[in-house]
Amino acid sequence: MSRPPKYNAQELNDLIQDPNRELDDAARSVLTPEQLTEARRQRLLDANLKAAFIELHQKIDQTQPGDDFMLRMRNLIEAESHDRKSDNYSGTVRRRELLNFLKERFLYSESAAWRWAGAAAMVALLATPLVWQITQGPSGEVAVYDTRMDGFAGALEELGESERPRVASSTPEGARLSAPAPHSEQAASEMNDSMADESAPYEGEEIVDVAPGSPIAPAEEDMAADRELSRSRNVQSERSALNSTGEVYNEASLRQSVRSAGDTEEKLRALRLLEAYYLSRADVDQLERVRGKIKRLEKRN
Amino acid sequence: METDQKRATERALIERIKAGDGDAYMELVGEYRIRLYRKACSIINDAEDAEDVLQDALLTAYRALPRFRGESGIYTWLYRIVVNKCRDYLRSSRNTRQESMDPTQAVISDDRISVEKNLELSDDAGYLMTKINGLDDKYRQILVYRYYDELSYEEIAELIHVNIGTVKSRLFKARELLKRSILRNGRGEEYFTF
Repeated sequence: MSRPPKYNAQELNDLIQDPNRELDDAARSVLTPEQLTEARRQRLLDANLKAAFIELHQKIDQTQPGDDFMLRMRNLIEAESHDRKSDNYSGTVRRRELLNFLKERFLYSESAAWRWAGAAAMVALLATPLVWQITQGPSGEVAVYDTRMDGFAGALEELGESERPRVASSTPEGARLSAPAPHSEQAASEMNDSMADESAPYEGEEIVDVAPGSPIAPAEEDMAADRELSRSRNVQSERSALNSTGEVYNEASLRQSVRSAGDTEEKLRALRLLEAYYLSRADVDQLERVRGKIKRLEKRN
Repeated sequence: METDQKRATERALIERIKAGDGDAYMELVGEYRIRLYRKACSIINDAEDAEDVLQDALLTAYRALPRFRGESGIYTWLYRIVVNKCRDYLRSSRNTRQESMDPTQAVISDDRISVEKNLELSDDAGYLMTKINGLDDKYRQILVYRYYDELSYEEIAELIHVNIGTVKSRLFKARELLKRSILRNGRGEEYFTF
């Protein structure tokens, strides 16, 4: 039997090996019975494998995230697009990616030396914008960080979160709050965000220049005004502290806490913090999702 | 030809994304979301965590997209990001839990399909999964790429940096090994009857 010219040795081999290729009459005529049997067996196994994986896909697809996932993604992308308009977006993203790289590659390393080296590199990277802020004033790239956290502490309160972060009394202006016992990665992330807002002015606070050595002879109304100002500053300081809470508890670190929680109790606590975060942002989709997780965990518990 | 058209459409979408069109990104990932989720699910073996990791991965991809040079297909690029994110997730959860974990229960850090254990597959499908997972990594992985991840020959070639001919012959060898494994002890002939 003469072999049709379209099948050379390579193509014949391809006919046997590739189940996607059709075994037409021309192909059948050039294959030996053994080759034909082999080609058929390959195609049957291919079909059986596809069927097995289709079944697996169908099972997994029952857990596929629905439209709410795409909605959340869309919101995240919109927020990101908004950030992109910032002049310093590129630098911020690069720094964030470098931080993530260091975190993922070194902080999880088996070797303590690499972990320390990674931590040192991250601290150096985090310190750069702070130094920039100190030397260049408050208009640095940190402005692109999300500061929409005004309601976070209130939300915590509303949810009855007992372990409220404490106000660090030694820093009356910043009134920065301390996060509860973070592990190294979380600490790094939190450090990043807390540094990011280091120089941001507090809402409503006025900076008054007073010449050194100026005589202070307050009149009665001035003293009353001072008391009012002082009271107002205390309120402002508390508000600032609440804002700072938000900076410490950013979304990424809260989500990381949920993931790395060692037991159910810890996971529940982390989820409640995340719930407070979304409540403060009135992010209904995420809130529903987190609440669903909490319910399931509580039921399982 | 179809691939060329697809690539051209993707390139146009990518240009729109680079110009700041977030909707174009949603359009781009919308097509691949289901397959990427399956992949994340197969590695992480937990639907909710897989969803979180996928969200992180897609956000990372969006941020990195301006630096995407188009040397590979967009799907294989996204696929790599998702797999890396899943591995990072497993590594971090293993590290944070290692003290309390029984070492014999260590999380599998490769992309072996482990999810089928929780899904009560039919006997046939479960049997085939077990046989595939029993193959050497090189052959198991290429079967997973082809049948679980539904990657084309071109996409597999891009991922493992070989030519398409090598992909085909390696797949052939993998199926051959699988066939032998199934037919061992004189059983499994039903998988090959006409």
